[in-house]
Amino acid sequence: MARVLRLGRAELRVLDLDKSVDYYTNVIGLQETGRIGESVFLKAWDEYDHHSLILTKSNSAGLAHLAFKVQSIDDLAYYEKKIEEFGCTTTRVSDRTRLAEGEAVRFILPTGHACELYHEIELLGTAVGTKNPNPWPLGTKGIAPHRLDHLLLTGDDLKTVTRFFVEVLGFGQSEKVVTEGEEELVGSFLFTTNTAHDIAFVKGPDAKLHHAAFGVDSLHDVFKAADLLSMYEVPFDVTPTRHGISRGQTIYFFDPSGNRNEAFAGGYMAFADMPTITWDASKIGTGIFYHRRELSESFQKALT
Amino acid sequence: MYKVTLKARGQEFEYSCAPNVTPLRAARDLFIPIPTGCQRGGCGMCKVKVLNGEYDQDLVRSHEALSDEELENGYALACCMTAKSDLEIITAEDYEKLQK
Repeated sequence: MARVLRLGRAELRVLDLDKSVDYYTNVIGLQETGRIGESVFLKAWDEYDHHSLILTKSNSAGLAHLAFKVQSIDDLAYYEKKIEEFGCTTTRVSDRTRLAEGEAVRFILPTGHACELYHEIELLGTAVGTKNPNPWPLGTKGIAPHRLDHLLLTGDDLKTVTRFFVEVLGFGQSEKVVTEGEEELVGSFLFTTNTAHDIAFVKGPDAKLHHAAFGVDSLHDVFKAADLLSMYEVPFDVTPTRHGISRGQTIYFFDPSGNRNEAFAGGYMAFADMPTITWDASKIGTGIFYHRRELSESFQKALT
Repeated sequence: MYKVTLKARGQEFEYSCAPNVTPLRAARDLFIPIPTGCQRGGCGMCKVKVLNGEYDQDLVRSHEALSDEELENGYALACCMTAKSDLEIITAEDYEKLQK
């Protein structure tokens, strides 16, 4: 059966490539795995595939594309048909258009974001290997997350984009935020792995990025990330706290182009048969920041 | 020290700003409620119209946050500019309301 494995990669637009590579390698602590033209490819130490993050120089910030890895090469044709039936136009991105990547199916989400599905990508392996591995590698830099964890995007029509992920790509909806009488969907949290969200949407302008999150182990690691961010004078959006939605522990900050990043830990395990958790829009402050219980202007409005 | 006059959220604020500090940082240090986002020239939340005064704007910024046309028309990002004289600035949001 066809299956979307996970969020495989995100391509961020950055304003100054050197500054951004310095930040993502030394502060975030990813490893550079290749360069082509004005794009740099990076992976976290615990990821197997060639890259999970691409930084591409641009004169604006934001998300250039996101992509999900599917279980087999045959899944591409399967999903391509389903996506077309849903009403989205697909194109094929040919093999090795970007470094180390095989063919991909490309389409625009109902929220205006460019999205791809792919199966083939070069395997580099984790920093600890697969034979008698140590639990973590020596000599990492910065926050050194395990992986790219999830993306939060903004868009206008969250009902349609949710239907797309559930009906076409087989995702589950772990949590939702609704206005009175469930009239309007203003937040939608979607998963295909066993994490509380692989991708999420909040109501806002189409085609914008709210944040890209990297997965760390524990609250201690979130706190240590906060220490590192202060040492490197990285601007914070939100200092360490707890999410009501997902139950994760979190910190938000900005990359050198103003793209918001998160170091995210914990959260419950999600299973395909879980009922969707519902938050009233009036409680969204508690849902997002469980301690402060109100949103901040920057968290709500700073988008790239 | 330069004097900055800032119109934001329908109010007027006056404060001092050192030449090596952004008008955004100086305002925040005095708890003046200037709209603040990424502080990296990426999101455009701190966009202001400069009504009077000389300033330097960091040119590496998101063109979605501040286009070349806006730059030419005296708009700036308060997070990545510095004052070169006394300044009179108004947030883009307040300026838009004023035009209506």
